[in-house]
Amino acid sequence: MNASKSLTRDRAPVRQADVFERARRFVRTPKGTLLVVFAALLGVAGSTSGWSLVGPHVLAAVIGACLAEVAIVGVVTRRLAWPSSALLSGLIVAFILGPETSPWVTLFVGGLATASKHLLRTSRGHVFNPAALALLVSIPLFATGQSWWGAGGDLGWPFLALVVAGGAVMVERINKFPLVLAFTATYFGLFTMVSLADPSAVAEMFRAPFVQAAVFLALFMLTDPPTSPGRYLDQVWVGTLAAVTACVGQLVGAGQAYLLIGVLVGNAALAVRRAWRTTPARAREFAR
Amino acid sequence: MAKKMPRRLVALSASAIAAIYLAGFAYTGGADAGLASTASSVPTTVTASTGPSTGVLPAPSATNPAGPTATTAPAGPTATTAPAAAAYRDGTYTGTGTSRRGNVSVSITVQRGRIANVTISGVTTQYPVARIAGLPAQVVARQSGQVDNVSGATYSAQAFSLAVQAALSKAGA
Repeated sequence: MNASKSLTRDRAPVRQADVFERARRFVRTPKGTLLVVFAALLGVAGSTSGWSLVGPHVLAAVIGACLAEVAIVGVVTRRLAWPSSALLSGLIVAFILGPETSPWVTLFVGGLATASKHLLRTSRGHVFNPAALALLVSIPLFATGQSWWGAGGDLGWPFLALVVAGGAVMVERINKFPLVLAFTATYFGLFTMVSLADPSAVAEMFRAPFVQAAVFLALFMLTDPPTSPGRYLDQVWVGTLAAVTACVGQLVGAGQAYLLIGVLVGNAALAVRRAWRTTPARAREFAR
Repeated sequence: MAKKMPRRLVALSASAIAAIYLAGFAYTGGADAGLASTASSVPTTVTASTGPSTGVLPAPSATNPAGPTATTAPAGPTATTAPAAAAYRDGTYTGTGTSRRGNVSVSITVQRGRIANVTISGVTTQYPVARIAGLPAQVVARQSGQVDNVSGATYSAQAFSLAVQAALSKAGA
């Protein structure tokens, strides 16, 4: 009896230490770092926007994304896995969708983000940024509004500094600075050039909430490791292409979808480039 | 994985981008102030056009310089742009308004020649539909597509107004 009690006492601290060690290791991974950054953004933006409004909204998106992940992975591999990617996709969906969106719609969009990851994939992984694709599809499906509240669209400039600081830590970890810099340089460069001809056409692009949305997209969505390039040269052209697409989309009246279209076009172009690289040389000769 | 970009180069590039941004921000300052003053001084007015907006906000109105508060909801049909309520044919009509930030679609039900109900059936603008959720009630109260501007959702309100106009034109307005 005494021996049993002593065993129980010994096990508990070991388990606790094990959990802490696992948590510490997870936080050191890119996903863990991103989760910590998102938790900080959620803490500030949620407190400002009001938890009664934001809380159910975030829960709906995260639950939708995680349930879809657990269900799909469970069916395909017949095992349970911690849905860390889905958790992040759900948070991005929640941050961008207006918190007034119906919880059922938010739940569905979160699930759609995860489902798209499993449906549209190559041997290298998923093709499109899951949250961007689901949010784009939700516009014609549910006429959703996207306020980018989690990016600080309605908050002051200090919050943007928090977004940039958190994003910089993340981008440094995953080595995607060329991608972010190419995107932001092209994006603001093009809008600045357009402003020389017609300032009123692009004046809002330099102001809230559009600046916050573009910065959030560049730091946290464009850099999604599976859908973004590793090589620096590829990062530069993908970032440039995404920015040009977004700018053109905005100027021709794509409405709220212009940033999402930009990142998805960049994803698609990278997938084509990767497929072309892996195609054997003889097949490419034949194609010519 | 490629070697990491030197932090000094990152800082230099980020500074250059910040300079580009600030140049654009400063250069568009006047235009933004103009847009803001126009948006705050003019209620969202209905125009005859139902086509895509060119992105230019309506010209300032000399008759309503005090802003949206000057256009308090009239009890009946407005004398300015609203046609006589009896001119509408009974039925349900849809319309879509376009703005630089996306579209708004509405469905209008006309009963006994009057606008009985207005529903926002679709929104693809930057801002959540909640920001313009109060506009359908204004249309019913005023029996007209002339609604107040919504601060922070100017384009959504414009697109809504154009959508109402498009639907009312089908109703024989």
